[in-house]
Amino acid sequence: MSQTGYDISDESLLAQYCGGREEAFTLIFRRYSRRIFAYVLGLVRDADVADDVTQKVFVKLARRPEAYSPTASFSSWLHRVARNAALDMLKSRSNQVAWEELDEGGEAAILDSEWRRGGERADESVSNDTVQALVARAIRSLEGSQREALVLREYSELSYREIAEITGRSLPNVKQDIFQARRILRAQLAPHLRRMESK
Amino acid sequence: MNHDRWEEMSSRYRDGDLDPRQRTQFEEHLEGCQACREAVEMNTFFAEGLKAAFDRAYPADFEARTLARISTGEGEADTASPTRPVAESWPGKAARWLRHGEFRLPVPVALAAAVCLIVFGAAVVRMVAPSVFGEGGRRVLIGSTMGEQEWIDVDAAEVEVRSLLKRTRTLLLALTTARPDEQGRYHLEAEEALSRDLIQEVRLLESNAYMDDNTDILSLIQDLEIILLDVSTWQGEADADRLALLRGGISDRSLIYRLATYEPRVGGD
Repeated sequence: MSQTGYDISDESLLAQYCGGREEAFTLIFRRYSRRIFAYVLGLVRDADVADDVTQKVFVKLARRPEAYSPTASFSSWLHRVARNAALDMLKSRSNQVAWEELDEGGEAAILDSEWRRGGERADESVSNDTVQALVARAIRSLEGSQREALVLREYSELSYREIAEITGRSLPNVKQDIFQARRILRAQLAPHLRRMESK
Repeated sequence: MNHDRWEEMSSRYRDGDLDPRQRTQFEEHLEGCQACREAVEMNTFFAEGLKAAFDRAYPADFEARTLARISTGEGEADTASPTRPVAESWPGKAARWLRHGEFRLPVPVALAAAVCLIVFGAAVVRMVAPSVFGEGGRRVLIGSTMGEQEWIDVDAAEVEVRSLLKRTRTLLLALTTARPDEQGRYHLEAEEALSRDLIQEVRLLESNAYMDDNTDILSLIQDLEIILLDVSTWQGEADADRLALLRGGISDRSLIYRLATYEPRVGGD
């Protein structure tokens, strides 16, 4: 096995782990933990909660790797598991939400409310005049589906098709979400960036 | 071309989603369009900002804590729900939900369970909890919210599933048997079907088959999902090769025939 394992497929690593090679799990973890953490953080907008949910996803994977069936890519499957875990957690916190609302639109509404709740807090860890803070704030203003698709595309570097598989949205809708997200970011951030450039 | 269209292409350009002809066309446009050049640059710039922001949030000790938790077995009973429940059979789940009398699960899972009960397992549910059926009608209690019981109509749901199969068959038949000059029209119909969230409905059926432990139909449905996604990205005449592959894929798997002949196990009256 190579040092990084990047030349080994996810499925092969998982098979090795199922066969008793514990280090294969570490390689899977290193390959995906940042992406899953970022994705969950984008959904729940609370670092502590994202920490907990992401841990649970990997604990679940370690306990029951056979739950993955190779009918979808491992990456898509793991992101879907993380999505379900994050939404389960958000729903458990939104105990007044009627079950009829928990369709795709309802999920987006919960995600929006969580994100905006987070947005009411100041970004203490990031200086206001940094690009990161500006981008983070602008991302927060996106609709749930736009934010989710953009994070999956730019951070997890997933294809449109994989994003559609994970989110359950159609491919045209995914493309449109990503396009609109970028357009909104540009509209919000361009004035700030020009001002920073002129200083 | 409307400039919004170019702007949309700038997003797909970043993601490598343009075919060679579109890419050349867009790059020629870029040479003379300051707004689009800025859009391309800013899309890249924001992507870097996004990565930096999320990287910064990743806890330095996350790997050590998580791997330690796994090695010690901590949190074993408190793990996240898998995408597909595999440990417990669907009659067991149904009995547990009905016993609790309270809705606690994500709606997609619950709906899948409800359809499962309707199409595959109404008889079993009768044995487990006969009292959940409404008077004289084929209804199943799927939970309650804030004191209000939620019922689902067995016959209506079964009609929905069969309608889905019929629409799917029609769509695939139209796409795969159309003359070249008709393909564009059928492709538009396919896109319209997709916009009606056909994939979501297919997913419901998938969950249903999953809970029925029908691996054959599960594999079939997953093939279908891939094909529907292929359809949604088909670019018309430019994608003639892709359509040929799509046709071949469908033919190889006898998808239409197998869907047409698939009959869920009847568990109701």
